[in-house]
Amino acid sequence: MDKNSSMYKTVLLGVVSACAGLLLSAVNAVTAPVIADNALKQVQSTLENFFPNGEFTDVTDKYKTDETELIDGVYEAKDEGYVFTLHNTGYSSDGFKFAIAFDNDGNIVGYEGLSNSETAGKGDKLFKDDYANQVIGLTSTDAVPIISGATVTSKAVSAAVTEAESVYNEIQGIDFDADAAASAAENASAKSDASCTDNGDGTFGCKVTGFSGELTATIEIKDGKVVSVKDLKGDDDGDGVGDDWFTDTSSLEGVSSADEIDAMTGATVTSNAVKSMIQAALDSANATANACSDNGDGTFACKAEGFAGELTATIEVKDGKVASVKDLKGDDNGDGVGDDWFEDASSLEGVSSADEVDDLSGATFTSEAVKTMINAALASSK
Amino acid sequence: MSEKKTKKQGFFSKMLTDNPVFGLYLGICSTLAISTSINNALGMGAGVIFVLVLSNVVVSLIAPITPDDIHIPVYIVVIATLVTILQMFLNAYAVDLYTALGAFLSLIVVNCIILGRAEAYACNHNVKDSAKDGLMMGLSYTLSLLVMSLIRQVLGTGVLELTNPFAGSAVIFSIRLIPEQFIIPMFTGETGAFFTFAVLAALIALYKNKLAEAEAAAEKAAKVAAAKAKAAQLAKEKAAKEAA
Repeated sequence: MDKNSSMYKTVLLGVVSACAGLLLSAVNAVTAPVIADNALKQVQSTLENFFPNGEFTDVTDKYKTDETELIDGVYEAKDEGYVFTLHNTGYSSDGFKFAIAFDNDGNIVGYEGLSNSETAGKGDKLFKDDYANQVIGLTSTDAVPIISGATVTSKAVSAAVTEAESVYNEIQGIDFDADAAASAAENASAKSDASCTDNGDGTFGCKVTGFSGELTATIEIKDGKVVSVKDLKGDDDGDGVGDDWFTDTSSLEGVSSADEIDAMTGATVTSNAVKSMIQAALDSANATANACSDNGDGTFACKAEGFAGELTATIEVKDGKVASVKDLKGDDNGDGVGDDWFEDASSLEGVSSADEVDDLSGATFTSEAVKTMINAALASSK
Repeated sequence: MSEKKTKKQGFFSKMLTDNPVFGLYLGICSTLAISTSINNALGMGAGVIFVLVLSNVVVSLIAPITPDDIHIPVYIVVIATLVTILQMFLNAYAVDLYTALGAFLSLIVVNCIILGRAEAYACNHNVKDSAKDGLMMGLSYTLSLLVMSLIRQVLGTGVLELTNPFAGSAVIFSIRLIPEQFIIPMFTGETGAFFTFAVLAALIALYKNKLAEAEAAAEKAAKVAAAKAKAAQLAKEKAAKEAA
């Protein structure tokens, strides 16, 4: 064949490319399994946090598409669920990485921050245990909460989680509307942050994250209605927006539900924060009021919502002090957190107010439930 | 420099003067980017030697059957295949090195040294010479990278460190030469790269100039000696003739 004919050139190029292709597929056959193994080893410890003793396979190539660019890896834990490793850029341009795990029943069973450079005390909250506890237990069609004061980071995390949920729901055949879930999360965010401690005298010390910082107030509740809101203060005061809340809280008096409160125009976040504090105080008062029934012999059968379910106990009150706490049991027992309450409730003896009870660190919800029951018993004994 | 002279040059001297990086100014991008640590230098150098030798061999084999107007795509396919194979092996057996070299591993394909030598040398020499040329060029490149990395790593971080990329970055040795307060971090960045490169290039140019001067002087002296010898010879013949 003449070396300069087009036929020859075409054939030569074809042959060279074919040989190259053959050689490459041969090398790939040898190295691809090793590469996959290496990648898996790097995430192994994270995977095992969610599903100890799980059998993992890297199914990233199977499920990751061009549209799911926030997903780094998808791992199937055989017969148990799926783990997604994700990344996104929040406030810091360095980005963050985290992992989220679903079981096969559509529940989020794990959430762990892997690396982040977000603002300390604000964005980095999204990668700590408190937030993880808010995410774990949600379903695969829920959007994750937005933390006010860390909106940018929250939205970035939410976007990544939504991508993981889309893929997961597709695998499991669950209907999922990503946009609806996201807007629901923004509405729900105000409620999730407020918390109140029962002062034992009908007032509640409440706090909530407002627009630029934390808001605190002392809210007095009687017969299921707000009697007064005193000492409302916080970072939002003086920023020129929503300041009217701080000067005059009389509009809050008499409400029995946060729905009755009108938001202040132009101060939506602050208003929502105030509303959620009121609701939290009302909810706490309600819980305390209904918590105990009088057994008539100086003991009270009490119940309160703990972390994983309802707790019950028989509390004996004598001379305005807790004499004993017996039969403390409930769903929170055995989950490894706050179990000390169940083993030894003697620290509760002699208290005349829940304020004297020290929270068990890491077991906030369970401790709060115990305190609610104590307060209710003491209040009922009066 | 004349062919005759270069053959007499020492091995290391040749490495300096025929250096693809500082002599021919090829492959500068990767040199500037990668030379931040001797680990990277050795890793990249080994990779380039691997690709260079094999590509030179393959090119010298297929050059005779490759028509001129498609020789570039053909050579590029060869080089790209070799680099991809290298990438796959590194990704499987030396992940840390693979991550450290990053994009510059795939950029070996367009490293001018490789295509440059394929076109300038391998396509008109036999397999053995081509392989040798590839090895020499690769070694020179590695040496250049090593020198630059040494300077940049010591001045920029103060530590001379070598780890084993095949054993999960196990440290082979790590010596602090300059205390932390006196290091010049600029050297680990782009500014330091250009700076170091410029100084080294100038030094090598100086060396080459000196060699050229020495050779010119030697040639001149040889010419003078030859002329003298010839004149002496002529005088001798003339004297002999007159005597006769």
